[in-house]
Amino acid sequence: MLKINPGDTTATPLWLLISASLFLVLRVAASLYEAQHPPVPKEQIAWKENVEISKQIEGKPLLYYFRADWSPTCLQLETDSFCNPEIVETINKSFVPMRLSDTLKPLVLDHNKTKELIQKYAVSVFPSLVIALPDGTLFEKIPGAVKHKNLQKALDSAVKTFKAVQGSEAFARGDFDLANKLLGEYLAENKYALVDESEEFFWPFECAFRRYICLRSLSKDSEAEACLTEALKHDNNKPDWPLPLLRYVAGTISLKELQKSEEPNLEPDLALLAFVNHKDQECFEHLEKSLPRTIYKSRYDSRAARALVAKLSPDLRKQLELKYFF
Amino acid sequence: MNLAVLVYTFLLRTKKFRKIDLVFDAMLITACFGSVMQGPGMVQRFIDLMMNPATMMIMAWGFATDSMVKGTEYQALLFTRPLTRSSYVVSKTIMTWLGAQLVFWKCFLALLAANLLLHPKTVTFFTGWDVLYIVANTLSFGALAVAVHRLPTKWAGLAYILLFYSYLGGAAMPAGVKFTGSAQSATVPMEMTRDALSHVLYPVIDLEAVFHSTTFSIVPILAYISNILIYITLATIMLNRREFSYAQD
Repeated sequence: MLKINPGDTTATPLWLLISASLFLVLRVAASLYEAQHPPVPKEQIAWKENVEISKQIEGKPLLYYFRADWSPTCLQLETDSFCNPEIVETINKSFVPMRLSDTLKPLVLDHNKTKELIQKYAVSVFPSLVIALPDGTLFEKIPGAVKHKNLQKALDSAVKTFKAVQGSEAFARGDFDLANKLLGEYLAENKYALVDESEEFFWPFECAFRRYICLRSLSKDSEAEACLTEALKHDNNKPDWPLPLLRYVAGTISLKELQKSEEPNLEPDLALLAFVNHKDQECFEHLEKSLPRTIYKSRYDSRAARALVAKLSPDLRKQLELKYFF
Repeated sequence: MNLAVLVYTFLLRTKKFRKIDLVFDAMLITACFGSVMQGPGMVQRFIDLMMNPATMMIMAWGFATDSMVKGTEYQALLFTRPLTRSSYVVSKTIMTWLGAQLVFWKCFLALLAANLLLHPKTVTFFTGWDVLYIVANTLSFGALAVAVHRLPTKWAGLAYILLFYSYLGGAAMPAGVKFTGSAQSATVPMEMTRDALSHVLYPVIDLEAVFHSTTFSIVPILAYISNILIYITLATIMLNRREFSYAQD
């Protein structure tokens, strides 16, 4: 039932005004107090301020935190995410954390090294987090103050796929020995466990294909076959890339069936396969088709195919170099 | 709080928005099925979109307004009773809060149904903190939507558009940009202004970040409560300055 209030219906209630004023005063006072005495977190990230230290630490990805003293958004990220116990533990355990500050005094970046890194990773906003391989190769860039949950997810994903990325990078540069070692370690550690977890679904299969190429080019054919067989044990009969490629390598589907798959740029992979089968002319033809094309999702494979140019016979190499590199 | 205002708000909304609701439901079900078909990553993005401040603003706005056309709010009828304006504002805020949550849980149920039909396996949609996030922030956005709706008609629309796009923009680019060249000196003042506005008016509280941290700051909680009280007080003052009569209906 309606409650009848005999008072003035247009009066501004005193209780509301008092409460609003009281909380406003408390809020201002607390803000001023915390600005002078910021709460100290119990667990802290072991940030390293010296950029050079990172190069001496192997086996862990680098985490560069680009911050600015003048940016309140950086403070928000530090309060929300860098005080979160799970994030602190993940960073301290699995990364080499490096903090780089911009003070805007005297309106230029403070250190030449910082400026160099900002240019290298194309950092345009503060805060920005950059995950890099130990040699400095960009792995992932997270611009802006992401929520701690999303940051945790990105860090976990980076930890899980670190060796896969490191191995794929070595593969793309044509260092098949190192790639074989790293990809082998990744596959042994993960045992295709990431299958069905959406975004990481493709990593083990892509790594298996790359490792197969590495092993074949190192003349370790029996190990290559074992790697392929192990990967195909986890084949779930889905049409998703790179499963059709693995099936083609194993001989269970034909080239025509492979060409019907979703992958728009097959040529680099076919060039790699022709190379390990010692078919230089065929490799040359696939490279001719692949080199002028845009790099699609298999960018590591495309780069590895480009690196093959240097490994072809001199006459074929010269033709490609004249056409595409000069 | 006043029961008549709660009932009026709910009835008027269901009566006036029926056709829109049908379109909204169709879009929602399509979006849910689409997201579930795309896999867990897409489901997560859908949930993030639902919890975005800009989405909260839309949900709350739907309940803060009584009808499609402003000015025909039946307020004249309500205010012929001995109903205080503050009681009207508080009731309206509570109704907006409950209504906005109804929409959120409707989204959640549609997503759950789509998942059960397409992928009958266990998927965690929300954690306890997500639920608290929705409950806490629909209240603050409800209070803000009611306050904005009490502004004069031409200002209310403009303020709503500004708020909507500022949250959308803030969600898309939560970072400080350092300009180069002569514009560099604008960096600090611009950042400070943005910070001041976001801290004074931004009605979002991330309870997980506040409580699940190795440090504790009382400021976000005080800012959250203070913002709600300021919105309600402003809405009451603005409503007191308006006259209503049967002629409006």
